[in-house]
Amino acid sequence: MKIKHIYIEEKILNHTNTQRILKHFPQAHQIIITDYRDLFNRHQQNFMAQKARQSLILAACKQDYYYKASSNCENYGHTRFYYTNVMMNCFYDCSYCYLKSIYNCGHFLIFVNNDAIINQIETNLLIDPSPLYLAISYNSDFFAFDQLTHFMPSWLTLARHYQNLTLEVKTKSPHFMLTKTPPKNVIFAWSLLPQSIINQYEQHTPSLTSRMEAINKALKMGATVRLSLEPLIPSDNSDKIYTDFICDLRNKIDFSKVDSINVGGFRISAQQMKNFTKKDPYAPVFAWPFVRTQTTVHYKAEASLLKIIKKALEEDQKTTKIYFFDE
Amino acid sequence: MILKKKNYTYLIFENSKTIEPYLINKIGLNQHQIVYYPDILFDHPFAEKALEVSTFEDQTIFQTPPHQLVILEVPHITHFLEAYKDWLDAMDQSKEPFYTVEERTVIDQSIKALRLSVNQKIQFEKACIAAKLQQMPLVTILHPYTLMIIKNKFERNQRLSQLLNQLYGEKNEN
Repeated sequence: MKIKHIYIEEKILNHTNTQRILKHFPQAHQIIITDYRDLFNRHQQNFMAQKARQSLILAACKQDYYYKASSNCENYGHTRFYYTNVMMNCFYDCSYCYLKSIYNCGHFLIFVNNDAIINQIETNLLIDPSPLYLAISYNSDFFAFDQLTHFMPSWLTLARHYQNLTLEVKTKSPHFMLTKTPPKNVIFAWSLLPQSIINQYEQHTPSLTSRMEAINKALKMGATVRLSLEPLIPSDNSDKIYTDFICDLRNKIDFSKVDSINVGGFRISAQQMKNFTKKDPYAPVFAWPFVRTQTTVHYKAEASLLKIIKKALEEDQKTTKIYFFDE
Repeated sequence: MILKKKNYTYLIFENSKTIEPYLINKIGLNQHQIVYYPDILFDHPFAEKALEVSTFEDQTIFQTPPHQLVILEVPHITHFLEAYKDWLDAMDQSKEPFYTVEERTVIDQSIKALRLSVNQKIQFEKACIAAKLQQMPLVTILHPYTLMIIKNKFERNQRLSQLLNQLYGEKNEN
Protein backbone atom coordinates (compact mmCIF):
# COMPACT_ATOMS: atom_id res chain seq x y z
CA MET A 1 0.00 0.00 0.00
CA LYS A 2 1.94 3.02 -1.24
CA ILE A 3 -0.07 5.83 0.26
CA LYS A 4 1.49 9.26 -0.17
CA HIS A 5 -1.37 11.46 1.00
CA ILE A 6 -3.85 10.95 3.83
CA TYR A 7 -6.77 13.34 4.17
CA ILE A 8 -8.07 13.38 7.73
CA GLU A 9 -11.22 15.01 9.01
CA GLU A 10 -10.29 17.42 11.77
CA LYS A 11 -12.97 16.08 14.13
CA ILE A 12 -11.61 12.53 14.11
CA LEU A 13 -7.92 13.36 14.16
CA ASN A 14 -7.53 12.13 17.73
CA HIS A 15 -9.86 9.14 17.35
CA THR A 16 -8.15 5.91 18.47
CA ASN A 17 -8.83 4.25 15.12
CA THR A 18 -7.40 7.23 13.21
CA GLN A 19 -4.21 7.16 15.23
CA ARG A 20 -3.91 3.39 14.81
CA ILE A 21 -4.31 3.58 11.02
CA LEU A 22 -1.90 6.50 10.69
CA LYS A 23 0.85 4.44 12.31
CA HIS A 24 0.85 2.23 9.20
CA PHE A 25 1.78 5.16 6.97
CA PRO A 26 4.53 7.14 8.71
CA GLN A 27 5.83 8.64 5.46
CA ALA A 28 2.52 9.94 4.11
CA HIS A 29 1.60 13.62 4.01
CA GLN A 30 -1.29 14.30 6.39
CA ILE A 31 -3.76 16.87 5.14
CA ILE A 32 -6.44 18.06 7.53
CA ILE A 33 -9.88 18.45 5.99
CA THR A 34 -13.24 19.67 7.28
CA ASP A 35 -15.60 17.19 5.66
CA TYR A 36 -14.70 14.18 3.51
CA ARG A 37 -17.57 15.00 1.16
CA ASP A 38 -15.66 18.12 -0.01
CA LEU A 39 -13.21 15.66 -1.56
CA PHE A 40 -15.03 12.44 -2.13
CA ASN A 41 -18.21 13.79 -3.70
CA ARG A 42 -16.84 16.62 -5.81
CA HIS A 43 -17.36 16.60 -9.56
CA GLN A 44 -14.86 16.39 -12.41
CA GLN A 45 -12.62 13.89 -10.61
CA ASN A 46 -10.71 11.25 -12.52
CA PHE A 47 -11.61 7.97 -10.78
CA MET A 48 -9.17 5.86 -12.77
CA ALA A 49 -6.21 8.20 -12.24
CA GLN A 50 -7.00 8.31 -8.52
CA LYS A 51 -7.30 4.55 -8.41
CA ALA A 52 -3.85 4.24 -9.97
CA ARG A 53 -2.40 6.47 -7.27
CA GLN A 54 -4.65 6.16 -4.29
CA SER A 55 -4.78 8.46 -1.33
CA LEU A 56 -6.46 7.54 1.92
CA ILE A 57 -9.33 9.50 3.44
CA LEU A 58 -10.14 9.04 7.12
CA ALA A 59 -13.52 10.38 8.09
CA ALA A 60 -16.61 9.94 10.23
CA CYS A 61 -19.78 8.50 8.76
CA LYS A 62 -22.45 11.11 9.46
CA GLN A 63 -25.49 9.80 7.63
CA ASP A 64 -26.63 6.85 5.49
CA TYR A 65 -25.27 4.26 7.89
CA TYR A 66 -26.89 1.42 5.95
CA TYR A 67 -28.79 0.81 2.72
CA LYS A 68 -31.28 -1.68 1.33
CA ALA A 69 -29.50 -4.11 -0.95
CA SER A 70 -30.04 -4.00 -4.71
CA SER A 71 -32.12 -6.63 -6.49
CA ASN A 72 -28.95 -7.40 -8.48
CA CYS A 73 -27.56 -9.03 -5.33
CA GLU A 74 -28.28 -12.61 -4.30
CA ASN A 75 -30.49 -12.34 -1.19
CA TYR A 76 -30.24 -16.01 -0.07
CA GLY A 77 -33.93 -16.02 0.70
CA HIS A 78 -33.77 -13.06 3.06
CA THR A 79 -36.40 -10.34 2.82
CA ARG A 80 -34.63 -7.94 5.22
CA PHE A 81 -31.41 -7.57 3.28
CA TYR A 82 -29.19 -4.55 3.93
CA TYR A 83 -25.61 -3.52 3.44
CA THR A 84 -23.38 -1.01 5.14
CA ASN A 85 -20.27 0.89 4.11
CA VAL A 86 -17.54 1.12 6.68
CA MET A 87 -15.14 1.66 3.81
CA MET A 88 -15.54 2.84 0.24
CA ASN A 89 -13.19 1.64 -2.50
CA CYS A 90 -10.21 -0.57 -1.77
CA PHE A 91 -6.57 -1.17 -2.59
CA TYR A 92 -7.38 -3.90 -5.11
CA ASP A 93 -7.92 -3.02 -8.75
CA CYS A 94 -10.54 -5.34 -10.22
CA SER A 95 -11.44 -4.22 -13.71
CA TYR A 96 -15.06 -5.38 -13.29
CA CYS A 97 -15.54 -3.42 -10.07
CA TYR A 98 -18.81 -1.48 -10.17
CA LEU A 99 -17.63 1.08 -7.62
CA LYS A 100 -16.28 3.23 -10.42
CA SER A 101 -19.83 3.54 -11.68
CA ILE A 102 -21.20 4.81 -8.36
CA TYR A 103 -18.45 6.94 -6.81
CA ASN A 104 -16.94 10.15 -8.14
CA CYS A 105 -13.70 9.48 -6.29
CA GLY A 106 -11.21 6.62 -6.56
CA HIS A 107 -9.45 7.28 -3.25
CA PHE A 108 -9.85 4.82 -0.38
CA LEU A 109 -12.21 6.09 2.31
CA ILE A 110 -12.40 4.59 5.79
CA PHE A 111 -15.01 5.63 8.32
CA VAL A 112 -13.17 5.42 11.61
CA ASN A 113 -16.38 5.64 13.67
CA ASN A 114 -17.10 1.97 13.09
CA ASP A 115 -18.83 1.75 16.48
CA ALA A 116 -21.27 4.54 15.57
CA ILE A 117 -22.29 2.57 12.46
CA ILE A 118 -22.82 -0.52 14.62
CA ASN A 119 -24.90 1.53 17.06
CA GLN A 120 -27.15 2.82 14.28
CA ILE A 121 -27.69 -0.73 13.02
CA GLU A 122 -28.51 -1.95 16.51
CA THR A 123 -30.92 0.91 17.15
CA ASN A 124 -32.68 1.00 13.81
CA LEU A 125 -32.47 -2.47 12.31
CA LEU A 126 -31.87 -4.95 15.09
CA ILE A 127 -34.68 -3.56 17.23
CA ASP A 128 -36.88 -5.67 14.96
CA PRO A 129 -36.40 -9.33 16.01
CA SER A 130 -37.11 -10.72 12.52
CA PRO A 131 -34.12 -12.15 10.60
CA LEU A 132 -31.74 -9.54 9.20
CA TYR A 133 -29.12 -10.19 6.54
CA LEU A 134 -26.40 -7.56 6.60
CA ALA A 135 -23.50 -7.39 4.15
CA ILE A 136 -20.61 -5.37 5.54
CA SER A 137 -18.09 -5.53 2.73
CA TYR A 138 -19.85 -4.82 -0.53
CA ASN A 139 -17.93 -1.64 -1.25
CA SER A 140 -14.51 -2.69 -0.01
CA ASP A 141 -12.70 -5.76 1.26
CA PHE A 142 -13.47 -5.14 4.93
CA PHE A 143 -11.86 -8.35 6.17
CA ALA A 144 -8.64 -8.25 4.13
CA PHE A 145 -7.86 -4.75 5.46
CA ASP A 146 -8.63 -5.63 9.08
CA GLN A 147 -4.92 -5.66 9.90
CA LEU A 148 -5.13 -1.94 9.20
CA THR A 149 -8.45 -1.10 10.82
CA HIS A 150 -9.12 -3.74 13.53
CA PHE A 151 -12.87 -3.26 13.02
CA MET A 152 -13.77 -6.94 12.83
CA PRO A 153 -13.95 -7.73 16.60
CA SER A 154 -16.78 -5.20 17.13
CA TRP A 155 -18.83 -6.81 14.35
CA LEU A 156 -18.23 -10.28 15.76
CA THR A 157 -19.47 -9.07 19.15
CA LEU A 158 -22.60 -7.69 17.47
CA ALA A 159 -23.22 -11.01 15.73
CA ARG A 160 -22.77 -12.93 19.01
CA HIS A 161 -25.34 -10.71 20.66
CA TYR A 162 -28.06 -10.91 17.97
CA GLN A 163 -29.02 -14.37 16.77
CA ASN A 164 -31.50 -12.90 14.23
CA LEU A 165 -28.55 -11.26 12.47
CA THR A 166 -26.65 -12.91 9.63
CA LEU A 167 -23.51 -10.98 8.79
CA GLU A 168 -21.93 -11.48 5.39
CA VAL A 169 -18.24 -10.63 5.05
CA LYS A 170 -17.23 -10.87 1.42
CA THR A 171 -13.49 -11.07 0.92
CA LYS A 172 -10.51 -12.01 -1.22
CA SER A 173 -8.27 -12.17 1.83
CA PRO A 174 -5.18 -14.39 1.70
CA HIS A 175 -5.29 -14.66 5.51
CA PHE A 176 -7.69 -15.72 8.19
CA MET A 177 -6.42 -13.71 11.11
CA LEU A 178 -9.01 -14.54 13.77
CA THR A 179 -7.70 -16.38 16.80
CA LYS A 180 -11.08 -17.44 18.23
CA THR A 181 -13.89 -19.27 16.48
CA PRO A 182 -16.24 -16.62 15.06
CA PRO A 183 -20.00 -16.91 15.66
CA LYS A 184 -21.85 -19.18 13.22
CA ASN A 185 -24.07 -16.33 12.00
CA VAL A 186 -21.06 -14.61 10.40
CA ILE A 187 -20.56 -15.86 6.86
CA PHE A 188 -17.10 -15.38 5.39
CA ALA A 189 -17.78 -15.38 1.66
CA TRP A 190 -14.58 -15.79 -0.35
CA SER A 191 -14.66 -14.44 -3.90
CA LEU A 192 -13.03 -17.04 -6.11
CA LEU A 193 -12.27 -17.18 -9.81
CA PRO A 194 -9.83 -19.23 -11.91
CA GLN A 195 -6.24 -17.95 -11.58
CA SER A 196 -6.09 -17.02 -15.30
CA ILE A 197 -9.18 -14.81 -14.82
CA ILE A 198 -7.66 -13.32 -11.64
CA ASN A 199 -4.48 -12.48 -13.61
CA GLN A 200 -6.46 -10.71 -16.25
CA TYR A 201 -9.19 -8.95 -14.28
CA GLU A 202 -8.15 -8.69 -10.62
CA GLN A 203 -4.97 -6.64 -10.33
CA HIS A 204 -3.23 -6.51 -6.94
CA THR A 205 -5.45 -9.21 -5.42
CA PRO A 206 -4.30 -12.34 -3.57
CA SER A 207 -3.78 -15.48 -5.65
CA LEU A 208 -6.38 -18.25 -5.81
CA THR A 209 -4.01 -20.54 -3.89
CA SER A 210 -3.61 -18.09 -1.01
CA ARG A 211 -7.38 -17.55 -0.84
CA MET A 212 -7.93 -21.31 -0.69
CA GLU A 213 -5.36 -21.59 2.09
CA ALA A 214 -7.20 -18.89 4.05
CA ILE A 215 -10.50 -20.74 3.49
CA ASN A 216 -9.04 -23.96 4.88
CA LYS A 217 -7.73 -22.11 7.90
CA ALA A 218 -11.18 -20.59 8.44
CA LEU A 219 -12.86 -23.99 8.12
CA LYS A 220 -10.39 -25.47 10.57
CA MET A 221 -11.29 -22.71 13.03
CA GLY A 222 -14.98 -23.61 12.64
CA ALA A 223 -15.96 -20.46 10.73
CA THR A 224 -19.01 -20.37 8.44
CA VAL A 225 -17.62 -20.18 4.91
CA ARG A 226 -19.25 -19.53 1.57
CA LEU A 227 -17.51 -19.94 -1.77
CA SER A 228 -18.58 -17.04 -3.93
CA LEU A 229 -17.91 -17.86 -7.55
CA GLU A 230 -18.54 -14.54 -9.20
CA PRO A 231 -18.39 -12.60 -11.38
CA LEU A 232 -18.06 -15.24 -14.07
CA ILE A 233 -16.20 -13.73 -17.00
CA PRO A 234 -15.86 -15.40 -20.41
CA SER A 235 -12.54 -16.64 -21.62
CA ASP A 236 -11.08 -18.11 -24.81
CA ASN A 237 -11.61 -21.55 -23.37
CA SER A 238 -14.29 -21.05 -20.73
CA ASP A 239 -15.37 -24.70 -20.61
CA LYS A 240 -11.93 -26.04 -19.69
CA ILE A 241 -10.92 -23.10 -17.48
CA TYR A 242 -14.05 -23.19 -15.32
CA THR A 243 -14.31 -26.99 -15.19
CA ASP A 244 -10.66 -27.24 -14.08
CA PHE A 245 -11.29 -24.46 -11.59
CA ILE A 246 -14.14 -26.34 -9.90
CA CYS A 247 -12.01 -29.52 -9.83
CA ASP A 248 -9.16 -27.57 -8.25
CA LEU A 249 -11.48 -26.11 -5.61
CA ARG A 250 -12.95 -29.54 -4.84
CA ASN A 251 -9.48 -31.05 -4.49
CA LYS A 252 -8.28 -28.38 -2.12
CA ILE A 253 -11.43 -27.56 -0.12
CA ASP A 254 -13.80 -29.97 1.56
CA PHE A 255 -17.14 -28.86 0.07
CA SER A 256 -19.05 -30.78 2.75
CA LYS A 257 -17.67 -28.32 5.33
CA VAL A 258 -18.64 -25.12 3.52
CA ASP A 259 -21.95 -23.48 4.32
CA SER A 260 -22.85 -22.78 0.70
CA ILE A 261 -21.64 -21.85 -2.75
CA ASN A 262 -23.02 -18.99 -4.78
CA VAL A 263 -22.51 -18.49 -8.49
CA GLY A 264 -23.23 -15.42 -10.58
CA GLY A 265 -22.14 -13.57 -13.68
CA PHE A 266 -20.96 -10.01 -14.11
CA ARG A 267 -24.10 -7.89 -13.87
CA ILE A 268 -24.67 -4.20 -13.51
CA SER A 269 -27.62 -1.84 -13.93
CA ALA A 270 -27.90 -0.01 -17.26
CA GLN A 271 -27.27 3.38 -15.64
CA GLN A 272 -24.24 2.07 -13.79
CA MET A 273 -22.93 0.58 -17.02
CA LYS A 274 -23.18 3.99 -18.64
CA ASN A 275 -21.00 5.54 -15.89
CA PHE A 276 -18.66 2.54 -15.93
CA THR A 277 -18.06 2.87 -19.68
CA LYS A 278 -17.54 6.61 -19.43
CA LYS A 279 -14.89 6.28 -16.72
CA ASP A 280 -13.10 3.18 -17.98
CA PRO A 281 -13.93 2.68 -21.67
CA TYR A 282 -11.09 0.28 -22.35
CA ALA A 283 -11.43 -1.94 -19.27
CA PRO A 284 -10.54 -5.58 -19.98
CA VAL A 285 -14.16 -6.58 -19.23
CA PHE A 286 -15.17 -5.00 -22.55
CA ALA A 287 -13.36 -7.74 -24.46
CA TRP A 288 -16.62 -9.68 -24.50
CA PRO A 289 -20.07 -8.69 -25.78
CA PHE A 290 -22.80 -7.66 -23.37
CA VAL A 291 -26.56 -7.86 -23.62
CA ARG A 292 -29.05 -5.60 -21.95
CA THR A 293 -32.19 -6.91 -20.26
CA GLN A 294 -34.94 -4.84 -18.66
CA THR A 295 -32.98 -4.34 -15.44
CA THR A 296 -29.35 -5.20 -16.04
CA VAL A 297 -26.48 -5.50 -18.43
CA HIS A 298 -24.65 -8.82 -18.43
CA TYR A 299 -22.43 -10.93 -20.64
CA LYS A 300 -23.98 -12.51 -23.70
CA ALA A 301 -22.16 -15.68 -22.67
CA GLU A 302 -23.58 -15.66 -19.12
CA ALA A 303 -26.04 -18.51 -19.63
CA SER A 304 -23.37 -20.76 -21.10
CA LEU A 305 -20.95 -19.91 -18.27
CA LEU A 306 -23.59 -20.77 -15.67
CA LYS A 307 -24.27 -24.00 -17.54
CA ILE A 308 -20.60 -24.97 -17.34
CA ILE A 309 -20.52 -24.33 -13.59
CA LYS A 310 -23.84 -26.11 -13.02
CA LYS A 311 -22.51 -29.16 -14.82
CA ALA A 312 -19.23 -29.07 -12.91
CA LEU A 313 -21.07 -28.77 -9.58
CA GLU A 314 -23.79 -31.30 -10.48
CA GLU A 315 -22.70 -33.89 -7.92
CA ASP A 316 -22.12 -31.32 -5.18
CA GLN A 317 -25.69 -30.04 -5.42
CA LYS A 318 -26.86 -33.11 -3.51
CA THR A 319 -24.73 -32.29 -0.47
CA THR A 320 -24.04 -28.55 -0.59
CA LYS A 321 -26.39 -25.54 -0.83
CA ILE A 322 -25.68 -23.89 -4.15
CA TYR A 323 -27.23 -20.59 -5.21
CA PHE A 324 -27.20 -19.63 -8.87
CA PHE A 325 -27.98 -16.01 -9.61
CA ASP A 326 -29.97 -16.40 -12.77
CA GLU A 327 -32.23 -13.61 -13.95
CA MET B 1 0.53 33.38 -12.37
CA ILE B 2 -1.46 30.88 -14.40
CA LEU B 3 0.45 28.58 -16.69
CA LYS B 4 -1.68 26.37 -18.90
CA LYS B 5 0.17 23.41 -20.35
CA LYS B 6 -0.97 20.26 -22.11
CA ASN B 7 -1.86 18.01 -19.16
CA TYR B 8 -1.96 20.44 -16.24
CA THR B 9 -2.80 23.99 -15.31
CA TYR B 10 -0.23 25.50 -12.95
CA LEU B 11 -1.24 28.12 -10.48
CA ILE B 12 2.03 29.62 -9.27
CA PHE B 13 2.33 32.02 -6.36
CA GLU B 14 5.52 34.00 -5.99
CA ASN B 15 6.80 34.54 -2.47
CA SER B 16 10.29 35.98 -2.15
CA LYS B 17 10.35 34.97 1.53
CA THR B 18 10.46 31.27 0.72
CA ILE B 19 13.80 29.66 -0.01
CA GLU B 20 12.61 26.71 -2.10
CA PRO B 21 9.50 25.85 -4.15
CA TYR B 22 6.55 24.19 -2.40
CA LEU B 23 3.79 22.10 -3.83
CA ILE B 24 0.51 23.20 -2.26
CA ASN B 25 -1.71 20.34 -1.11
CA LYS B 26 -4.40 22.53 0.45
CA ILE B 27 -5.34 26.10 -0.30
CA GLY B 28 -7.64 28.28 1.75
CA LEU B 29 -9.41 31.08 -0.03
CA ASN B 30 -10.55 33.38 2.74
CA GLN B 31 -12.50 35.67 0.49
CA HIS B 32 -14.74 32.80 -0.58
CA GLN B 33 -14.43 30.88 2.71
CA ILE B 34 -13.46 27.92 0.61
CA VAL B 35 -10.78 25.31 1.10
CA TYR B 36 -9.56 23.47 -1.95
CA TYR B 37 -7.52 20.28 -2.20
CA PRO B 38 -5.77 19.70 -5.54
CA ASP B 39 -5.40 16.00 -6.36
CA ILE B 40 -1.72 15.10 -6.31
CA LEU B 41 -1.49 12.10 -8.61
CA PHE B 42 2.05 12.62 -9.90
CA ASP B 43 5.64 12.42 -8.68
CA HIS B 44 7.30 15.67 -7.75
CA PRO B 45 10.54 16.83 -6.13
CA PHE B 46 9.04 19.48 -3.81
CA ALA B 47 8.22 19.79 -0.15
CA GLU B 48 4.48 20.11 0.42
CA LYS B 49 2.47 22.52 2.52
CA ALA B 50 -0.88 24.26 2.88
CA LEU B 51 -1.36 27.84 1.77
CA GLU B 52 -3.74 30.58 2.84
CA VAL B 53 -4.51 33.40 0.43
CA SER B 54 -6.67 36.35 1.33
CA THR B 55 -7.82 37.36 -2.10
CA PHE B 56 -7.83 35.45 -5.27
CA GLU B 57 -9.73 36.74 -8.23
CA ASP B 58 -8.90 34.12 -10.80
CA GLN B 59 -11.49 31.39 -11.30
CA THR B 60 -8.94 28.74 -12.34
CA ILE B 61 -9.39 26.75 -9.11
CA PHE B 62 -13.11 26.44 -9.67
CA GLN B 63 -12.89 25.63 -13.36
CA THR B 64 -10.03 23.14 -13.51
CA PRO B 65 -10.62 19.50 -12.53
CA PRO B 66 -8.74 18.74 -9.28
CA HIS B 67 -6.41 16.20 -10.92
CA GLN B 68 -5.32 18.73 -13.55
CA LEU B 69 -4.46 21.59 -11.23
CA VAL B 70 -0.98 22.01 -9.76
CA ILE B 71 -0.52 24.76 -7.18
CA LEU B 72 2.97 25.93 -6.34
CA GLU B 73 4.58 28.58 -4.20
CA VAL B 74 8.02 29.58 -5.45
CA PRO B 75 10.62 32.21 -4.53
CA HIS B 76 10.92 33.46 -8.12
CA ILE B 77 8.69 32.38 -11.01
CA THR B 78 11.15 32.83 -13.90
CA HIS B 79 13.94 31.06 -12.04
CA PHE B 80 11.54 28.26 -11.12
CA LEU B 81 10.41 27.73 -14.74
CA GLU B 82 14.02 27.46 -15.84
CA ALA B 83 15.22 25.28 -13.00
CA TYR B 84 12.30 22.81 -13.24
CA LYS B 85 11.91 22.75 -17.03
CA ASP B 86 12.63 19.01 -17.19
CA TRP B 87 10.01 18.23 -14.53
CA LEU B 88 7.42 20.42 -16.29
CA ASP B 89 8.18 18.70 -19.61
CA ALA B 90 7.87 15.26 -18.00
CA MET B 91 4.48 16.25 -16.57
CA ASP B 92 3.32 16.98 -20.11
CA GLN B 93 4.15 13.57 -21.49
CA SER B 94 1.14 11.80 -22.88
CA LYS B 95 0.01 8.31 -22.08
CA GLU B 96 0.11 5.87 -24.92
CA PRO B 97 -3.30 6.00 -26.63
CA PHE B 98 -5.46 2.89 -26.74
CA TYR B 99 -5.42 2.71 -30.55
CA THR B 100 -2.43 3.25 -32.80
CA VAL B 101 -2.76 6.02 -35.40
CA GLU B 102 -3.20 3.39 -38.09
CA GLU B 103 -5.97 1.64 -36.16
CA ARG B 104 -7.84 4.90 -35.47
CA THR B 105 -7.59 5.82 -39.16
CA VAL B 106 -8.95 2.50 -40.38
CA ILE B 107 -11.81 2.66 -37.81
CA ASP B 108 -12.81 6.14 -39.04
CA GLN B 109 -12.54 5.05 -42.67
CA SER B 110 -14.74 2.01 -42.00
CA ILE B 111 -17.43 4.16 -40.35
CA LYS B 112 -17.43 6.43 -43.38
CA ALA B 113 -17.36 3.67 -45.99
CA LEU B 114 -20.13 1.67 -44.31
CA ARG B 115 -22.22 4.84 -43.81
CA LEU B 116 -23.08 3.82 -40.26
CA SER B 117 -25.88 5.47 -38.28
CA VAL B 118 -25.11 6.95 -34.85
CA ASN B 119 -26.29 3.81 -33.03
CA GLN B 120 -24.42 1.54 -35.40
CA LYS B 121 -21.29 3.62 -34.90
CA ILE B 122 -21.53 3.05 -31.13
CA GLN B 123 -22.02 -0.71 -31.67
CA PHE B 124 -19.06 -0.80 -34.04
CA GLU B 125 -16.78 1.19 -31.71
CA LYS B 126 -17.59 -1.22 -28.84
CA ALA B 127 -16.74 -4.19 -31.04
CA CYS B 128 -13.46 -2.54 -32.04
CA ILE B 129 -12.54 -2.11 -28.35
CA ALA B 130 -13.32 -5.79 -27.76
CA ALA B 131 -11.21 -6.84 -30.75
CA LYS B 132 -8.30 -4.68 -29.63
CA LEU B 133 -8.52 -6.08 -26.07
CA GLN B 134 -8.53 -9.56 -27.59
CA GLN B 135 -5.38 -8.55 -29.50
CA MET B 136 -7.01 -9.19 -32.85
CA PRO B 137 -5.38 -7.67 -35.98
CA LEU B 138 -7.76 -4.72 -36.21
CA VAL B 139 -6.19 -3.11 -39.29
CA THR B 140 -6.24 -6.37 -41.26
CA ILE B 141 -9.85 -7.08 -40.32
CA LEU B 142 -11.11 -3.59 -41.10
CA HIS B 143 -9.14 -2.81 -44.24
CA PRO B 144 -11.53 -4.58 -46.70
CA TYR B 145 -14.47 -2.66 -45.21
CA THR B 146 -12.83 0.69 -45.87
CA LEU B 147 -12.97 -0.08 -49.60
CA MET B 148 -16.64 -1.08 -49.72
CA ILE B 149 -19.23 0.91 -51.58
CA ILE B 150 -22.55 0.65 -49.77
CA LYS B 151 -25.61 1.21 -51.88
CA ASN B 152 -28.49 0.86 -49.45
CA LYS B 153 -29.44 0.32 -45.77
CA PHE B 154 -30.00 -3.40 -46.25
CA GLU B 155 -26.48 -3.86 -47.56
CA ARG B 156 -25.06 -1.65 -44.78
CA ASN B 157 -26.83 -3.64 -42.06
CA GLN B 158 -25.68 -6.91 -43.55
CA ARG B 159 -22.04 -5.80 -43.78
CA LEU B 160 -22.09 -4.40 -40.26
CA SER B 161 -23.54 -7.60 -38.84
CA GLN B 162 -20.83 -9.61 -40.59
CA LEU B 163 -18.15 -7.24 -39.30
CA LEU B 164 -19.42 -7.33 -35.69
CA ASN B 165 -19.32 -11.12 -35.71
CA GLN B 166 -15.79 -10.98 -36.98
CA LEU B 167 -14.68 -8.44 -34.37
CA TYR B 168 -16.23 -10.32 -31.46
CA GLY B 169 -15.19 -13.66 -32.91
CA GLU B 170 -17.08 -16.95 -32.61
CA LYS B 171 -15.15 -17.77 -29.44
CA ASN B 172 -17.43 -15.37 -27.57
CA GLU B 173 -20.13 -17.97 -27.70
CA ASN B 174 -18.20 -20.11 -25.19
